[in-house]
Amino acid sequence: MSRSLKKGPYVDPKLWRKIEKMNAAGERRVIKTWSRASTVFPQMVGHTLAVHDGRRHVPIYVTENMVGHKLGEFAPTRTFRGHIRDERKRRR
Amino acid sequence: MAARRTQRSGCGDRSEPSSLIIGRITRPHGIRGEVRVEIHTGDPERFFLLEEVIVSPTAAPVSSCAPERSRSGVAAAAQPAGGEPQSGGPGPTGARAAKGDTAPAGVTEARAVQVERVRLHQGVAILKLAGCDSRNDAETLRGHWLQVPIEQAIPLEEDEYYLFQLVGLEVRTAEGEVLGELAEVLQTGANDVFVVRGPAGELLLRDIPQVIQEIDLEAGRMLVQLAPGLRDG
Repeated sequence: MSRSLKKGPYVDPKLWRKIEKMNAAGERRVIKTWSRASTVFPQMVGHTLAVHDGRRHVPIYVTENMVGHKLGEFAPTRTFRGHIRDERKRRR
Repeated sequence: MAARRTQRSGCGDRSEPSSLIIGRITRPHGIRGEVRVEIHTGDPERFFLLEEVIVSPTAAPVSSCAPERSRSGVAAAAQPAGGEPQSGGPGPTGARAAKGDTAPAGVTEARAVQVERVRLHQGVAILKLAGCDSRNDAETLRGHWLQVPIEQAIPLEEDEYYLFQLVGLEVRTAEGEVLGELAEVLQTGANDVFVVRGPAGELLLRDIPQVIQEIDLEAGRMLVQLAPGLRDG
C-alpha cells in the first residue's frame, strides 16, 4: 500500500534540518546519512549526501532528475563485480 | 572547474589489454542453439554491430585471435579430441557423436566466431553463434566469455575513459597529498564513485567535475579536490 498523500513524502527529520541549515548558510558539505528511505527533495539538489550501503557511505551528488526517488536507490547494497577489462566507460 | 583531459587515447606506459570483455554466456536459450549473454559492456546496442566475437573459456586477454573464416563457427572452434565442455549442462556427448564432426564440443581455446543473430531481451543479449545449432551445442558454451579486440572497442569521445584505464591511477589532491590508488569504480544509480585505497584507508570520491579535476593517463595520475566533510568521521 502506498504512503498516504496527506503525510507527504518521507524524509528523515535530522537530515532535513541539516539540509535546510546548509541552504540558509549557502554552505556545501558532505552529509552522511543512514536514511536510505528518505525521499530526494528539490532543496537537496546540488548537495552531496553520503548514503550508507550497509558497509560504507557512498557519496551521491544530488541532481534534479533524482528528485522524488529514495536515497537508497542510488547506493546499491549489492555490488555487481564486473571484470576489470569490461568494455565499460566512465559515466559523467 | 571542468575536468581537463591531457591525453586523448591510449594508456602511455600503462599496459593496455589486447581485448575487452563484452559479455559472458550464462546459459542456452531455447532449443535452436541461442545463448543468453550477461552484458559486460556499457553500450548493449553494440551487440548489433557485431559480426564476429571472440569466444573464450576464460576471461584472460586474447593476444591475437585471427579469425579463421573458413572454419568460423563454434563447431570449427572446438578441438576434435579431448574437447571437454567447460562446465555444467547435460553431457552433450551423445548428441555430438550422433551428429558427427559438425557438432560443437565447447570452445577449448579462444576463437573468433561469427555472430548470426542478436536480440536484446530483459537486460540480457540473446545471440546465435555460427555452428551452434542445438541446445546441446549451446550447453557447451556455458560460462564462456565474449571478447572483442581492443581495436574494435567502442571509440571514446572527449573526456571519456574506459574503467580499466582508470583503475590503478595514483590519486592525489591539488595540494600534492597522495591519497592512494584508484582501486575500483562503483557505478551507482547516480554518479560513478571512485574507490581510492591508500595508507589512510579507503576513500570514496564522486566522479563529478568539481571533484575530479584532471586525469593524466600518461603520468598515471589523477588530481582531485576533496569536498569539505568527506573525511569527517
